[in-house]
Amino acid sequence: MTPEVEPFAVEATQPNPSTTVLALRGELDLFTADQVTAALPPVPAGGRLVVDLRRLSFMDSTGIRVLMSLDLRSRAEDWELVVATIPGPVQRILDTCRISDRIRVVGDAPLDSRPFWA
Amino acid sequence: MNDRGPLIPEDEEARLQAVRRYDILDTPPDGAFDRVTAMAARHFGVPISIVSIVDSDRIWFKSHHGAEVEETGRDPGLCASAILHDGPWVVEDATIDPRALANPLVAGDFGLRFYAGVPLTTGDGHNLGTLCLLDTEPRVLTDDEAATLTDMAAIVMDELELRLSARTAIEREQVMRRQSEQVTRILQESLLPASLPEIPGLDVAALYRPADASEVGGDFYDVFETGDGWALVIGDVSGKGPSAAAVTALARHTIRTASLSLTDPAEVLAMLNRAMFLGRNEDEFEHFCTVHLTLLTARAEGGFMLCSAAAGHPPALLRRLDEPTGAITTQGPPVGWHDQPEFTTTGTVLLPGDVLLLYTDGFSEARRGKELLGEEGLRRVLDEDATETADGLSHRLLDLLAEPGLLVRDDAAAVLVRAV
Repeated sequence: MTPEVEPFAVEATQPNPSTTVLALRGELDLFTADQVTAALPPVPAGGRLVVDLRRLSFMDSTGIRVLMSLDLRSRAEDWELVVATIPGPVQRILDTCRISDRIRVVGDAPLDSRPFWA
Repeated sequence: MNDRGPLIPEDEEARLQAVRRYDILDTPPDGAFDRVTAMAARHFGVPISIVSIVDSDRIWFKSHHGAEVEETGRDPGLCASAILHDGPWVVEDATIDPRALANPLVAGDFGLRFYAGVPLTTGDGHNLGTLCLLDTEPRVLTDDEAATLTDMAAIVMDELELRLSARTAIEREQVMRRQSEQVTRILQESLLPASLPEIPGLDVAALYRPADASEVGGDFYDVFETGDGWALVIGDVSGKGPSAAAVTALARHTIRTASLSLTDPAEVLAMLNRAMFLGRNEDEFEHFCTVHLTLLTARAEGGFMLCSAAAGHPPALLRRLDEPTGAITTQGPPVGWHDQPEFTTTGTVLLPGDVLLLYTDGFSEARRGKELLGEEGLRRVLDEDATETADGLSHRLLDLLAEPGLLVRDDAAAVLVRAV
């Protein structure tokens, strides 16, 4: 009806051989969650996956489920999962779910700075 | 035998049942049949070709190329004769054929001389009617022509079979869908309390609105008595369908059982986590569950003590009689994720006139265009009228979900209590 909502998009990049970045935009929910796992290339053992949620405007419990799945997968396949956020609704959901108890969350990576993984 | 005359087949009862089963009588004209009669007339060079169905007292034409007649009486019908035979039935020259002399089409103005009909035979051997050719000139049907006409009749029969099987498939699917919806409803009902308990000093209401009636939803709620008070539960199991329902059942019953002996809701959630975590395969992650649990105990001086804990669930909303609505925020990971969860319990009081709302994110994620309803939308409902009963508020929430332009994509459930 009002198509002003930024459409969901996911982009996978590999800034260096051991780091894979999944950058998410728009809204991550029941209808877009499958695209995240579909876009994920194999992460080598000992490597690192950064899930960049800084440009995500909205995330529901399905998004939490995606992160929990990735966490289980990273442990099974022996790579590190890092989630990047900025203060806002998405970070509040991560806090509510105590995501940082289990997953490394980088909450101070402002959009205009050069991210640590680049 | 039968006493209805010489043109009645021996299998007439079963044959008429077959005619009814194909449900073709009095249906509108249809391109598939019209193409066959047009093709037959053109191929054999005859003015008229007909697809006829022999009913109990008439011969009805599904397609009638070259003749503006839609049906005829059965008694003198040539088609009625044709269906008595298994192969082509041919009258080469009606003026000298005793089988056709009495037929009004032969004796009357039409001046019919030639008739060739091939029965439309069902898989179980009943002749429904014919594909036939009519001409005002006498002619001979060669063996090759008889074979072609028989093939064309088979095309007509194939078309009838196709329609029958399509209709049967649709009917079967409708029956299955009804059965499946019934199973879904029963399963769904088993996951929600049949009725809410009467709680002295507390006005209670609950609502549940599935996003899709044909699937068991993931939201659940419960209100029940514990050893020394009452428990309010709301939860959301990820995913849908039977396997999600199994997780919902496990969650609901574990919380009920654990709340009988444990007085700290954080411990109840920890026990639920153990129950869900045990037996789960490491890499298999089909369902997790967010829960909010509030345990209430009545206070001697009125109102209730509230102890709340949550596992990845949106904060409960608390509206004081004389304050704008606030939230009870308790952090904790969703249940079933890992084996070392930390849940925390938050305590407060519910005084007479105060309202507590537990809800699932189907509410907060409902949206109008770009704008999410959010916690804000729910606060507005609670703040509208401080004297509204729990039931009244529950109706306001349902009305909210039904508002035109509001897109509700997930199940929505809520439990409301108001101290009186």
